[in-house]
Amino acid sequence: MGGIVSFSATSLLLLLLLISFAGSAVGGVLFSTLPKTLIVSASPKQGQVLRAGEDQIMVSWGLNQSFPAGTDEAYRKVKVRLCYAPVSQADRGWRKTEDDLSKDKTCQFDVAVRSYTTTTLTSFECKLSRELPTATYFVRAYALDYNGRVAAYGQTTDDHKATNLFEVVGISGRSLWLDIAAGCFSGFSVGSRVVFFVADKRRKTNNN
Amino acid sequence: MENPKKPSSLQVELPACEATRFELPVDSEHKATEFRLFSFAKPHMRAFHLSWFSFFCCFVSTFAAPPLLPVIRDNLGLTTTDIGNAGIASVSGAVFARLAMGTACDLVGPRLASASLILLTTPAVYSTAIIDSASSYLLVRFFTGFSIASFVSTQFWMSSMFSPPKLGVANGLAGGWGNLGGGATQLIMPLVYDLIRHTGTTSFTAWRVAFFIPGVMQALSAIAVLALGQDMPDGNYRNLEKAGNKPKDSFHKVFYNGVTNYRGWILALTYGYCFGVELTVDNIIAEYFYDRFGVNLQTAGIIAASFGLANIVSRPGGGWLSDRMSERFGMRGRLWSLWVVQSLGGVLCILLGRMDTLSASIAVMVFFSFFVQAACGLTFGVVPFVSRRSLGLISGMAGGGGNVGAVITQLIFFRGSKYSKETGITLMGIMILCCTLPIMLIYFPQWGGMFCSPKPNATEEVYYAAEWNENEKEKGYHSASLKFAENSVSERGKRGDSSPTVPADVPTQT
Repeated sequence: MGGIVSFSATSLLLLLLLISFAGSAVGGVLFSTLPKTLIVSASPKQGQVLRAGEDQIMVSWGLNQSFPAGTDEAYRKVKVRLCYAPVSQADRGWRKTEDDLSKDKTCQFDVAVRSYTTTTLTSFECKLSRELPTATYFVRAYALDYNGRVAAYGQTTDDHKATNLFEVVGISGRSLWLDIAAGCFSGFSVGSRVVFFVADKRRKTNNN
Repeated sequence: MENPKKPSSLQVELPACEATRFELPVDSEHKATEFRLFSFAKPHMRAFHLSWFSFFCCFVSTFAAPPLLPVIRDNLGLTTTDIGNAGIASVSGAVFARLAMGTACDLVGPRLASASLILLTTPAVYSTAIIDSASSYLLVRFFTGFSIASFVSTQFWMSSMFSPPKLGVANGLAGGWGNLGGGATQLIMPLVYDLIRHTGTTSFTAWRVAFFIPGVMQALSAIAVLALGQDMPDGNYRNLEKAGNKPKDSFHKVFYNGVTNYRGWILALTYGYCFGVELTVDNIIAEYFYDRFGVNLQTAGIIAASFGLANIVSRPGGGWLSDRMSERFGMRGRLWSLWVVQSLGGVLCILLGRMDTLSASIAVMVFFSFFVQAACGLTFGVVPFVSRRSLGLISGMAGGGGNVGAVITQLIFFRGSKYSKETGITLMGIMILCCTLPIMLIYFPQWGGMFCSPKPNATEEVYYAAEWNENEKEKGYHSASLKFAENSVSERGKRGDSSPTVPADVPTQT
């Protein structure tokens, strides 16, 4: 019994050590406090279906000129991301929208990270990654200041995330080789059972 | 864990030629009276290693999907409901499979029963590599889950190979090291996935390839069982039946005898609230820590793994405790320790849901895992004594009851958003306490129960022979049961009779 107690004490200690190294959640910027000063547009039209790993999209962003000059003083970088539309977030807690940006899981894929330039419009073409799951998306750009904190944003859709959404169909990950291998290995398993069945029967008749 | 070798008066002296046939000392049924963990001696220790390892592989396969869910759910477009349903499906297949396994063991022996089940479910594991929808995901998890019915064959096999004083430890280690697979897989699968990713494969292909590892492990372990294992110390069922040493039993008789024994049903219920709880926790704990305390996925996986990994010592510890209690207090000691340990597990479960900080939660979870898994080991210290004729079926009932408990608990407390996970965990603890009370109703005339002492003239022979009718007794079919009865006199504890009661009407066996 002593062994059990010492084992549990050691494992507890190890776990506590591991936990202390895990990153602690630092409170982040709240999305609702961000000004929507960027205009972002993307090439896919409403309802268009694109294929991951094959198709490309063109994304452009720039400062909304209706804001006073100097609004973008602090902006240093622009991070453009692909974000899930509400229909792809339903019943999927791992894609949930949270106001605290450090906990927010809406936008999980990077399209581009570029330095911010005060020209009217910057464009970038990007190929859709093969890692993208099948879902409905929109594009959002975050403007970051010198500290890397999010200062502003812009997105291709409206505030309710209902317009200008496009679909991406992900790769299946399947291949002919996988199908063949699965079939062969399965056949081998069932076949080996049959082999032993026959061998056992033979041994039985030999013993008669 | 080793008992001081007390020369048991139960161990009928064997003629020299028979005794030297086995590497380990044996009793009159040729079951080993010693347990040597690091030996592979044929047939006893070899059977032990084959059975725990093949069962371990089944657990690895059955719970191979949860650690890779972050990738799988994106590839297949799964929703939380899909994932919850598949989790329930993964443990529900084994409910009936465990019952069927019990009967199969009684009829064709544990070697054929377990190897057949394992080899026939391996295609489901390979098929996981080629699924592409939520419904196919549910189906493969359902069919893969059948394989953990091999639990019944491990317990049956150990009961055939080890004598009562060592049965708790043998059953506990075989069951515990098998259940370990549920924890090990949380470490193995992400590791294999990472290795495959390093070759440049995309994530949606890498997880599929990873599933070949549990599949191959499972198939090879079953082949080893077929090639190297044997059902009983004296040989395989088929050979023993042919030689007339073991009468072929009838399914109906075995079934009727098993289901009419109320103790089997009580143990099925209580096992649902130690093992069933363990399965439920295997399915939900990573998400619980991830969501409630905001740890990242790797950390949540490590915590989830540690719950299952405690099985290395916790379940065998329960079996060992059962054996020690039996030495002093007999069957009553086994029953009391089972009730106490499982109830404490329930209390810790209630506490777990109430812990608000990460470190307190982990601490309580570790203790909780020890108690709940030890209760599993303690349960199977009692099961082998409920019936001799329908040993497999009773093991299957208890084992199946474990899975029923998991299904019911997940359905009531962990599906949808009715209860938060922490409330669900606390309520699960309360249910454990309630469903453990029926242990108080278990009574053996020859050994007693928790609160009642044994009947003065009741014997083990009468109890086990009562499973056969007069016709069968005349033909001597019950001779194996009588041998078992002789050896089980140890369950009387220290106050037991010192002379083995050899009934006068049984022709002496050569």
